Amino acid sequence: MIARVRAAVVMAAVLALTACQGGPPSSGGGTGSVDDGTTITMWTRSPTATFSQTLVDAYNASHKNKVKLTVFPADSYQQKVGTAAGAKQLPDVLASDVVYAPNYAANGVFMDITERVNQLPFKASLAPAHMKAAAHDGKDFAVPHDIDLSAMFYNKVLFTRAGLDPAKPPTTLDEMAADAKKINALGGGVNGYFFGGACPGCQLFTSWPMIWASGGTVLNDQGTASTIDNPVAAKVYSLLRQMHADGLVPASAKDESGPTWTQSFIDGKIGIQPMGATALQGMKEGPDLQVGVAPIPGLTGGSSSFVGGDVVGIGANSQHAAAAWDFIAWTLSDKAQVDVVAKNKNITVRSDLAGNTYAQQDPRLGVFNKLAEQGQTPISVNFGKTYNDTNGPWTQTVIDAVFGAGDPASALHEHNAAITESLASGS
Amino acid sequence: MTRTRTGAFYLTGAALAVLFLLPMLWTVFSSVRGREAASGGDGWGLANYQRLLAYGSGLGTYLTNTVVVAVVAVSVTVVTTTLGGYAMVRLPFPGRNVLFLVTLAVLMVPYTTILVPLYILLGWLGLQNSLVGLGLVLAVLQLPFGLFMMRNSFDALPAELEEAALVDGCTITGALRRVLLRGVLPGIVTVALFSFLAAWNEFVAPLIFLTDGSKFTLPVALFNLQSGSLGSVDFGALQAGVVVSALPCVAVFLVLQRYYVRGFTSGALKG
Repeated sequence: MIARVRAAVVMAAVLALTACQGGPPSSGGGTGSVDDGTTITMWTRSPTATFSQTLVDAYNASHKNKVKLTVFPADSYQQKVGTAAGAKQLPDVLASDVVYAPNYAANGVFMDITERVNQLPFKASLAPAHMKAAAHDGKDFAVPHDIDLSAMFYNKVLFTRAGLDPAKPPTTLDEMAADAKKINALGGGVNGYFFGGACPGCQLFTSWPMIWASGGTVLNDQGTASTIDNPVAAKVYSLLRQMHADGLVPASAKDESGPTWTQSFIDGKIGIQPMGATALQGMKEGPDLQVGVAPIPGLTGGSSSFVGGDVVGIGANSQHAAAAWDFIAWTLSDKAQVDVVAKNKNITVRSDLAGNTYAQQDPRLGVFNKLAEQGQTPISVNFGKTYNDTNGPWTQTVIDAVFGAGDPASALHEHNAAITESLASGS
Repeated sequence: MTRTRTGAFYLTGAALAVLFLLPMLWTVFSSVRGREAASGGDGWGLANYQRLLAYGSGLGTYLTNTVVVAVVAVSVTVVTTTLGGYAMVRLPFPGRNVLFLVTLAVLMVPYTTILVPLYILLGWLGLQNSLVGLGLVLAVLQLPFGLFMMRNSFDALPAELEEAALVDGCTITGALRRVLLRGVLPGIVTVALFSFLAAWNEFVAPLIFLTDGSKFTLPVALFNLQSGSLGSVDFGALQAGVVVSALPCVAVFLVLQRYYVRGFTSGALKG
């Protein structure tokens, strides 16, 4: 009997604890920051591990506070954060893929840091796409951490071999296809173009900028309805489909689910491939690979970029908000952004530092910095389950549009309602 | 059996063995190819293992953590299910069959639905972010199967065995320890083997209940390695990790295989 009563008490308490979680919390008291030797915890996902660790090491070396970073597998990060939020056991500092920021802000995972952010003298120069994604009801819940954006990478060695001018990357999608065709004609295991055909995240990361640059849209401003059923998007996917059908893309691209989608380019076997800016850090240039970087073009010109990466905020139940903010504010400072972020070939999250010393030394970083100001981050509370989840409606949409039996316009039209339904349904 | 039939028998057996062993051998070979070899080059060596040793908090730390969790899970599972199985069969108490069915019904509760309550409960017990706490959670998850196994094992033993021991002057505990345990040993080994494999390979529970990177178990560390930046997965080190992770499982299985098979048949055939 006693056991039964205790079990009931435990269950009631659990329900009470989990039920009261939800909705954005208050600012957690105070707006200041302290560096008094507090140890704070931070979580991040594996793709951002090196970036975050570099900042943490630099902060720990120069401050009394100590940040203890834990890295979790990217694919399971949502589950970890969700469970911890339910149990009110979030870390002091929480980094998140920017596309999940609207969900975290709306569901009370992040603490409201509006007043703290307003005190930053450089607030206006923080990456606008990230700031917009991490805002909810006019309040700020996180700030930019690591910017990864999509850009067109091309192999200058193959450009030269194919008789193309490596100083003149394509400025329209038609030019891109034409250049890819010439490079493909080189043969010897070389292909003109590559994409991750079975990787929904890779596809949206690289093909949506083509649509945006062409004047099209993919979803409405509220992030509640898909607008991918439009003629511009149909033309973009028709082009990609044609390139695959013409053999400019390796047959393996159809099954590429993401983990190795940059490998062929790194091996010097691909002429042109849009991918993430952070890939540049891991590329070893040599006789087969000289990397050129240009913005992703539209059908008849223009350019755009998908601004991805991570934002960072204070965990809703942090007991060390002031110390956590001290670390976060420091990561945005001139010193951290130039001497740590830019020095390690990463993109600064502040537009006023875009022309820093390191960006001037490598013109490719200049391209990235410019794109960070111009690019977009689509905002939707249900982004993950709709677009990144391999079981979500976007996966089949893009597979049908690029590889299906029908034409791309029909595929986009057919799946548009399912995407909207997923975007609009409960988070 | 004619010579032709014997030949065909061995040939088929050998073909099946190769079929099953091939993926394992491929993994082992991949793990000893050099880093450059991963992208098409040649070369053999232990470079992948060296990188794995130095990865994160170090391979030794992850292995030790996994062993601690597995030992806690196996010990608790074996002791509780052995005593529980004995009670279910030898100690007549009202509602024991209902209790047994309720225990089995727990198997139908989706794992993910109890993660948050378990998280909170471990916090109350001071066992959050603790290897022992994780081991206890994994033991709890193994209880339904373990109890089922041990109940069948005790049920298969003749009641006269215990009665004889009692007549000879043993207490109930003595009879259980000196006589019955030998009879249910195959069942115990089966339960231990299953709970070891489950604890060793478990991913979700360590991910959720551990928040300190130096306490991660091998599966979580390997998943971190696997989900590095897109396009920059260290497949060589990953293959080495798979080999290191699989070796203890294969070793334990081979050592205990004899008992394990007997355990299943003793549960299935009475008397």
